[in-house]
Amino acid sequence: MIKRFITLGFLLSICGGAWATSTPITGSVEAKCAIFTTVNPKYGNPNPYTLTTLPASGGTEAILRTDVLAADYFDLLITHPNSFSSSPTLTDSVGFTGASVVSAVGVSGMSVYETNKLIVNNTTRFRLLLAGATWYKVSSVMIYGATDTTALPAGNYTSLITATCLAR
Amino acid sequence: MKILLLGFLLISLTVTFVFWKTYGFAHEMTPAYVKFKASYVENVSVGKLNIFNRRTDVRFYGIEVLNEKLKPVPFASTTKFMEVKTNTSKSFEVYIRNKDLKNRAYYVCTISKVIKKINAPVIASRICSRIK
Repeated sequence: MIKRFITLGFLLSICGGAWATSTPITGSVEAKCAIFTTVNPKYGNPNPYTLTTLPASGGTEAILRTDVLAADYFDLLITHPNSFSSSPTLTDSVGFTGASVVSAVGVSGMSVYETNKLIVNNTTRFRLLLAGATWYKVSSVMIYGATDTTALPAGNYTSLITATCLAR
Repeated sequence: MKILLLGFLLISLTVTFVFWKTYGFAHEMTPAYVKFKASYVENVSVGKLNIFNRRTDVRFYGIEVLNEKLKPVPFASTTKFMEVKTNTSKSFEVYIRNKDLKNRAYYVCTISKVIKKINAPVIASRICSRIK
Protein backbone atom coordinates (compact mmCIF):
# COMPACT_ATOMS: atom_id res chain seq x y z
CA MET A 1 0.00 0.00 0.00
CA ILE A 2 2.76 2.42 0.99
CA LYS A 3 4.70 1.47 -2.16
CA ARG A 4 1.67 2.37 -4.30
CA PHE A 5 1.40 5.79 -2.63
CA ILE A 6 5.08 6.42 -3.14
CA THR A 7 4.83 5.47 -6.87
CA LEU A 8 1.71 7.62 -7.31
CA GLY A 9 3.37 10.53 -5.56
CA PHE A 10 6.45 10.17 -7.75
CA LEU A 11 4.36 10.11 -10.93
CA LEU A 12 2.37 13.14 -9.82
CA SER A 13 5.54 15.05 -9.05
CA ILE A 14 6.81 14.34 -12.58
CA CYS A 15 3.50 15.51 -14.09
CA GLY A 16 3.57 18.58 -11.86
CA GLY A 17 7.03 19.33 -13.19
CA ALA A 18 5.76 19.01 -16.75
CA TRP A 19 2.86 21.37 -16.08
CA ALA A 20 5.22 23.95 -14.70
CA THR A 21 7.33 24.00 -17.88
CA SER A 22 7.10 27.48 -19.36
CA THR A 23 7.31 28.46 -23.01
CA PRO A 24 9.22 31.71 -23.28
CA ILE A 25 8.32 34.21 -25.96
CA THR A 26 11.42 36.11 -26.90
CA GLY A 27 11.74 39.34 -28.83
CA SER A 28 14.03 42.29 -29.17
CA VAL A 29 13.50 45.96 -29.74
CA GLU A 30 16.10 47.51 -31.99
CA ALA A 31 16.53 50.53 -34.19
CA LYS A 32 14.26 49.82 -37.13
CA CYS A 33 12.56 51.71 -39.91
CA ALA A 34 9.44 50.41 -41.65
CA ILE A 35 7.93 51.97 -44.77
CA PHE A 36 4.15 51.67 -45.13
CA THR A 37 2.30 52.42 -48.35
CA THR A 38 -0.87 53.81 -46.82
CA VAL A 39 -2.51 55.09 -50.03
CA ASN A 40 -1.42 53.96 -53.48
CA PRO A 41 -1.32 56.83 -55.98
CA LYS A 42 -3.30 57.16 -59.19
CA TYR A 43 -3.06 59.53 -62.15
CA GLY A 44 -6.00 61.66 -63.17
CA ASN A 45 -6.20 62.89 -66.76
CA PRO A 46 -7.89 66.33 -66.59
CA ASN A 47 -6.93 67.27 -70.15
CA PRO A 48 -5.36 65.48 -73.15
CA TYR A 49 -1.80 66.45 -72.25
CA THR A 50 -1.67 66.16 -68.45
CA LEU A 51 -1.40 63.31 -65.99
CA THR A 52 -1.61 64.36 -62.36
CA THR A 53 -2.08 62.83 -58.92
CA LEU A 54 -3.79 66.02 -57.66
CA PRO A 55 -7.22 65.13 -56.23
CA ALA A 56 -8.86 68.20 -57.83
CA SER A 57 -7.95 66.71 -61.22
CA GLY A 58 -9.20 63.22 -60.48
CA GLY A 59 -5.93 61.77 -59.23
CA THR A 60 -4.88 60.30 -55.91
CA GLU A 61 -1.74 61.40 -54.11
CA ALA A 62 0.52 58.75 -52.57
CA ILE A 63 0.57 58.59 -48.80
CA LEU A 64 3.53 56.89 -47.14
CA ARG A 65 4.14 56.27 -43.50
CA THR A 66 7.41 55.60 -41.73
CA ASP A 67 7.61 53.94 -38.32
CA VAL A 68 10.89 54.47 -36.58
CA LEU A 69 11.75 52.65 -33.37
CA ALA A 70 14.71 54.78 -32.29
CA ALA A 71 15.28 58.51 -32.55
CA ASP A 72 17.73 59.97 -35.08
CA TYR A 73 18.92 56.67 -36.55
CA PHE A 74 17.46 57.10 -40.06
CA ASP A 75 16.97 59.50 -42.96
CA LEU A 76 14.07 59.14 -45.35
CA LEU A 77 14.61 59.89 -49.04
CA ILE A 78 11.53 60.24 -51.22
CA THR A 79 12.09 60.45 -54.96
CA HIS A 80 9.14 61.53 -57.07
CA PRO A 81 9.13 60.46 -60.74
CA ASN A 82 10.99 62.32 -63.49
CA SER A 83 10.23 59.75 -66.19
CA PHE A 84 7.83 56.93 -66.93
CA SER A 85 8.98 53.41 -66.15
CA SER A 86 6.58 52.18 -68.81
CA SER A 87 4.42 54.06 -71.32
CA PRO A 88 3.42 54.07 -74.98
CA THR A 89 5.98 55.55 -77.36
CA LEU A 90 6.21 59.29 -76.68
CA THR A 91 7.51 61.52 -79.46
CA ASP A 92 7.18 64.90 -77.74
CA SER A 93 8.86 66.27 -74.61
CA VAL A 94 7.78 65.10 -71.17
CA GLY A 95 7.90 67.50 -68.22
CA PHE A 96 7.61 66.10 -64.70
CA THR A 97 7.12 68.02 -61.48
CA GLY A 98 6.29 66.77 -58.02
CA ALA A 99 6.60 67.31 -54.30
CA SER A 100 6.96 65.37 -51.06
CA VAL A 101 5.54 66.90 -47.88
CA VAL A 102 4.91 65.80 -44.31
CA SER A 103 1.14 65.36 -44.10
CA ALA A 104 0.65 64.12 -40.53
CA VAL A 105 2.81 63.47 -37.49
CA GLY A 106 2.58 61.05 -34.59
CA VAL A 107 4.63 63.27 -32.27
CA SER A 108 4.27 67.06 -32.31
CA GLY A 109 8.04 67.63 -32.55
CA MET A 110 8.06 65.92 -35.94
CA SER A 111 6.60 69.03 -37.56
CA VAL A 112 10.19 70.30 -37.96
CA TYR A 113 10.78 67.54 -40.54
CA GLU A 114 8.93 69.67 -43.08
CA THR A 115 10.87 72.87 -42.38
CA ASN A 116 14.24 71.06 -42.22
CA LYS A 117 13.81 68.94 -45.35
CA LEU A 118 16.43 69.07 -48.08
CA ILE A 119 15.47 68.94 -51.77
CA VAL A 120 17.99 67.90 -54.41
CA ASN A 121 16.54 67.51 -57.92
CA ASN A 122 13.52 65.22 -57.50
CA THR A 123 14.63 63.76 -54.15
CA THR A 124 13.50 65.10 -50.78
CA ARG A 125 15.49 64.11 -47.69
CA PHE A 126 13.88 64.09 -44.23
CA ARG A 127 15.92 63.50 -41.08
CA LEU A 128 13.89 61.27 -38.77
CA LEU A 129 14.80 62.92 -35.50
CA LEU A 130 12.15 61.29 -33.32
CA ALA A 131 10.81 57.80 -32.76
CA GLY A 132 7.25 57.18 -33.94
CA ALA A 133 5.08 57.39 -37.04
CA THR A 134 5.09 60.11 -39.69
CA TRP A 135 2.94 60.38 -42.81
CA TYR A 136 4.13 61.89 -46.11
CA LYS A 137 2.16 62.96 -49.16
CA VAL A 138 3.79 62.62 -52.58
CA SER A 139 2.40 64.28 -55.70
CA SER A 140 3.41 63.97 -59.33
CA VAL A 141 2.37 66.01 -62.37
CA MET A 142 3.36 65.30 -65.96
CA ILE A 143 2.73 67.68 -68.85
CA TYR A 144 3.26 66.39 -72.36
CA GLY A 145 4.46 68.50 -75.25
CA ALA A 146 6.35 71.76 -75.34
CA THR A 147 3.31 73.76 -76.43
CA ASP A 148 0.93 72.04 -73.98
CA THR A 149 -1.48 70.99 -76.68
CA THR A 150 -0.11 67.63 -77.77
CA ALA A 151 -2.42 64.82 -76.74
CA LEU A 152 -0.93 61.85 -74.90
CA PRO A 153 -1.19 58.59 -76.84
CA ALA A 154 -3.65 56.13 -75.37
CA GLY A 155 -2.17 53.36 -73.20
CA ASN A 156 -0.85 52.52 -69.76
CA TYR A 157 1.50 54.89 -67.98
CA THR A 158 3.55 53.81 -64.97
CA SER A 159 6.01 55.86 -62.98
CA LEU A 160 7.93 55.10 -59.84
CA ILE A 161 8.01 56.84 -56.46
CA THR A 162 10.92 55.53 -54.39
CA ALA A 163 10.97 55.82 -50.61
CA THR A 164 14.31 54.93 -49.02
CA CYS A 165 14.96 54.54 -45.31
CA LEU A 166 18.67 55.09 -44.84
CA ALA A 167 20.43 54.17 -41.58
CA ARG A 168 22.57 57.12 -40.51
CA MET B 1 -32.26 56.81 -28.19
CA LYS B 2 -31.17 59.18 -30.93
CA ILE B 3 -28.25 60.36 -28.78
CA LEU B 4 -27.20 56.74 -28.21
CA LEU B 5 -27.31 56.00 -31.94
CA LEU B 6 -25.38 59.18 -32.71
CA GLY B 7 -22.78 58.25 -30.08
CA PHE B 8 -22.43 54.74 -31.54
CA LEU B 9 -22.02 56.19 -35.04
CA LEU B 10 -19.39 58.65 -33.81
CA ILE B 11 -17.40 55.89 -32.04
CA SER B 12 -17.60 53.65 -35.14
CA LEU B 13 -16.37 56.48 -37.35
CA THR B 14 -13.49 57.23 -34.96
CA VAL B 15 -12.43 53.55 -34.84
CA THR B 16 -12.63 53.31 -38.66
CA PHE B 17 -10.55 56.48 -39.00
CA VAL B 18 -7.90 55.25 -36.56
CA PHE B 19 -7.67 51.90 -38.39
CA TRP B 20 -7.52 53.66 -41.76
CA LYS B 21 -4.75 55.90 -40.48
CA THR B 22 -2.66 53.09 -39.02
CA TYR B 23 -3.36 50.32 -41.53
CA GLY B 24 -0.84 49.88 -44.27
CA PHE B 25 1.52 47.63 -46.13
CA ALA B 26 4.97 47.64 -44.67
CA HIS B 27 8.47 46.68 -45.64
CA GLU B 28 10.92 46.17 -42.78
CA MET B 29 14.53 45.06 -42.51
CA THR B 30 16.82 44.37 -39.56
CA PRO B 31 19.40 44.97 -38.24
CA ALA B 32 19.80 48.69 -38.91
CA TYR B 33 23.54 48.30 -38.44
CA VAL B 34 24.86 45.10 -39.95
CA LYS B 35 28.12 43.54 -38.82
CA PHE B 36 30.21 41.51 -41.25
CA LYS B 37 32.39 38.59 -40.19
CA ALA B 38 34.88 36.34 -41.98
CA SER B 39 33.23 33.85 -44.32
CA TYR B 40 34.43 30.47 -45.53
CA VAL B 41 35.82 32.21 -48.65
CA GLU B 42 39.19 33.88 -48.30
CA ASN B 43 39.13 37.72 -48.25
CA VAL B 44 35.32 37.76 -48.30
CA SER B 45 33.10 38.71 -45.37
CA VAL B 46 29.50 37.80 -44.76
CA GLY B 47 26.64 39.70 -43.16
CA LYS B 48 23.25 38.31 -42.22
CA LEU B 49 20.02 40.30 -42.49
CA ASN B 50 16.33 39.70 -42.15
CA ILE B 51 13.49 41.13 -44.23
CA PHE B 52 9.81 41.22 -43.29
CA ASN B 53 7.16 41.81 -45.94
CA ARG B 54 3.74 43.11 -45.01
CA ARG B 55 3.01 44.56 -48.47
CA THR B 56 0.21 42.71 -50.20
CA ASP B 57 1.09 44.29 -53.54
CA VAL B 58 4.74 43.14 -53.52
CA ARG B 59 6.20 39.62 -53.42
CA PHE B 60 9.69 40.15 -54.79
CA TYR B 61 12.56 42.11 -53.33
CA GLY B 62 15.99 42.88 -54.74
CA ILE B 63 19.22 43.08 -52.72
CA GLU B 64 21.65 45.95 -53.27
CA VAL B 65 24.98 46.96 -51.79
CA LEU B 66 25.65 50.68 -52.18
CA ASN B 67 28.42 53.15 -51.46
CA GLU B 68 28.00 56.45 -49.62
CA LYS B 69 26.62 58.12 -52.77
CA LEU B 70 24.13 55.26 -53.26
CA LYS B 71 26.03 53.81 -56.21
CA PRO B 72 26.24 50.01 -56.58
CA VAL B 73 29.11 47.99 -55.12
CA PRO B 74 29.78 44.38 -56.22
CA PHE B 75 28.56 41.66 -53.87
CA ALA B 76 27.37 38.07 -53.88
CA SER B 77 24.37 36.41 -52.37
CA THR B 78 22.47 33.20 -52.92
CA THR B 79 20.02 35.30 -54.90
CA LYS B 80 19.83 38.95 -55.96
CA PHE B 81 16.04 38.77 -56.11
CA MET B 82 14.05 36.86 -53.56
CA GLU B 83 10.45 36.01 -53.06
CA VAL B 84 9.08 37.09 -49.70
CA LYS B 85 5.42 36.25 -49.38
CA THR B 86 3.12 38.67 -47.59
CA ASN B 87 3.36 38.51 -43.79
CA THR B 88 6.48 36.39 -43.85
CA SER B 89 10.10 37.12 -43.08
CA LYS B 90 13.22 35.83 -44.73
CA SER B 91 16.86 35.74 -43.69
CA PHE B 92 19.55 36.26 -46.27
CA GLU B 93 23.31 36.57 -46.40
CA VAL B 94 25.41 39.05 -48.33
CA TYR B 95 29.05 38.40 -49.22
CA ILE B 96 31.36 41.36 -49.84
CA ARG B 97 35.07 41.40 -50.61
CA ASN B 98 37.08 42.69 -47.65
CA LYS B 99 38.67 45.47 -49.74
CA ASP B 100 35.21 46.70 -50.80
CA LEU B 101 33.96 46.42 -47.24
CA LYS B 102 36.85 48.59 -46.09
CA ASN B 103 36.72 51.24 -48.80
CA ARG B 104 33.40 51.34 -50.64
CA ALA B 105 30.50 49.39 -49.23
CA TYR B 106 28.33 51.56 -47.01
CA TYR B 107 24.77 50.21 -47.15
CA VAL B 108 23.02 46.89 -47.69
CA CYS B 109 19.53 47.53 -49.04
CA THR B 110 16.42 45.65 -50.05
CA ILE B 111 14.11 47.22 -52.60
CA SER B 112 10.61 46.18 -53.55
CA LYS B 113 10.11 45.05 -57.14
CA VAL B 114 6.85 46.13 -58.70
CA ILE B 115 4.86 44.80 -61.61
CA LYS B 116 5.59 46.75 -64.80
CA LYS B 117 2.09 47.06 -66.28
CA ILE B 118 0.14 49.19 -63.86
CA ASN B 119 -1.67 52.29 -65.02
CA ALA B 120 -0.56 54.46 -62.11
CA PRO B 121 2.47 55.70 -60.22
CA VAL B 122 3.91 52.90 -58.09
CA ILE B 123 5.65 53.15 -54.73
CA ALA B 124 8.94 51.30 -54.42
CA SER B 125 10.17 50.96 -50.85
CA ARG B 126 13.85 50.58 -50.09
CA ILE B 127 15.39 50.02 -46.67
CA CYS B 128 19.12 50.35 -46.21
CA SER B 129 21.10 49.01 -43.27
CA ARG B 130 24.42 50.65 -42.55
CA ILE B 131 27.53 48.46 -42.63
CA LYS B 132 29.48 48.63 -39.38
